[in-house]
Amino acid sequence: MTSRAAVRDVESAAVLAAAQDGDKAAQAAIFEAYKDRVARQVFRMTGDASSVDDLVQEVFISAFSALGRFRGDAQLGTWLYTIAANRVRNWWDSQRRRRRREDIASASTGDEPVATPEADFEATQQRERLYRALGELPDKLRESFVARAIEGMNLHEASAALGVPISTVSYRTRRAEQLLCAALGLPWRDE
Amino acid sequence: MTPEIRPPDLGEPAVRSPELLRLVQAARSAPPPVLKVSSDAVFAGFQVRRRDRRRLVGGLALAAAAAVALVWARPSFMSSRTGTLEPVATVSSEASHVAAPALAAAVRVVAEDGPAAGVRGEWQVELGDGRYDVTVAAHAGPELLRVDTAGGTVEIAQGRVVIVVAGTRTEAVLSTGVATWIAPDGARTPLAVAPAETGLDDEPGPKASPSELARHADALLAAGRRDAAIRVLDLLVTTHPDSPPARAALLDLARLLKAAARTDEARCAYALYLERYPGKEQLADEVEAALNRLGPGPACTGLRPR
Repeated sequence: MTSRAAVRDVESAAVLAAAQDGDKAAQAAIFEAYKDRVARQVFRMTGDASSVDDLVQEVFISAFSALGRFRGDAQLGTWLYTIAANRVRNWWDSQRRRRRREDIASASTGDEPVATPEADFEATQQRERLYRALGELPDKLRESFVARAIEGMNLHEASAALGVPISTVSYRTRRAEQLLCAALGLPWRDE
Repeated sequence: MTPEIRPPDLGEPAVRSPELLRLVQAARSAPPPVLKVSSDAVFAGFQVRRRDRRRLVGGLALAAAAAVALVWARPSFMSSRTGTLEPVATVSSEASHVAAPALAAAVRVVAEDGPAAGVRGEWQVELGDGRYDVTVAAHAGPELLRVDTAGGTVEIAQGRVVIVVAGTRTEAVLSTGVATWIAPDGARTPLAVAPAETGLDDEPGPKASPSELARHADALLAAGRRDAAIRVLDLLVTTHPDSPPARAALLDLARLLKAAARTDEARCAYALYLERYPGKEQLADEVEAALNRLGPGPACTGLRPR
């Protein structure tokens, strides 16, 4: 869990400067304060538990390498969210390429029922359906939808996290919903 | 598409479609995975990146310096009579005795199967076809061991990596530590530590519950032991057909059998699924489609083709 005191501590200028200089303890403090939050974000963005470790590691390595560009006008958590979103964009690109290669190699891969020996089988199936469709959305629409619908952010929070106006978040989320419904064969009713 | 101009209602729902909301709720309810990556691994990765960046900057600076020197020195070695390049001085490689390179003390490369590794420098080896156990002990400096193969390069900061090379195909399994895979196009991928196989028996205990069997099959799969996982899933669906994990296990079993090119058995597994769970209509459709793709085959008795 990320405690507020821990977050305040690691956002101090001294800790950030030390982390930027490669101080191991400072980096560890930031990592420990934010790792669960970033892992949760990455998982919600990808739906793929097996990729979370690699992506979290990449997010923090990128963040520590670029700390010099963090000017403190946003919260560190918001800045990390942006880095995570960029990393996840690359991940979706590679996923789409891999899926296309697999589809070419085997026509049966696309609609193969994928199962895990877990009790919550229906939910797994539903998640996989949703994330497969999400992977086909343009990045910006997917990011808005994930922030609002899956991460449960309100319009203000999503606007701050994504760095776009509230009206844009609202529009993109609705457009994403429309495209998702079309891709999943679900009815969609605009109000 | 032009965004609509109307201002958003701040309390508007994120999802309006009830059908889509069900899928979204499934995604929301998924518990986040347990994070295995440590701050040490992140720190090591950070050092690798910083080192790469410095190398790149240094290389660019050297290249720029060399280019400047070349332009500046050109009149001294460019013959005005012939217009051909003549070296100002030559250094004979035979003149100086170059000792065969030896690996750094922190590095150990064991060829378990295949020719010995070619040592290219203190921190660089080249592997041919075979299986190699490569260990880099903790050391004070920032050096990374570079392991070149025909299919790409493994860069090890510290730890143990088992590397199997077959032609242009290279498989690297990180047991402990920090290492990066570098593809021929230069793309870098940090290697994740493979799940430990210690204590992972092929055969589960005789009194294993259905859930334990399912978890055991998962662990075997994660360890890359597909055939052993197939045996455990077979045991689960045969001995505990009415247990909750049996349904998912049967689908897993069919999929794994198909992937292992055991088509007749995969067909039987799919057919058994349809026989046991006809009520789950949507999934039954998908299973039926998978079964049809396998084409005709012998009749089955349970999981076994006749």
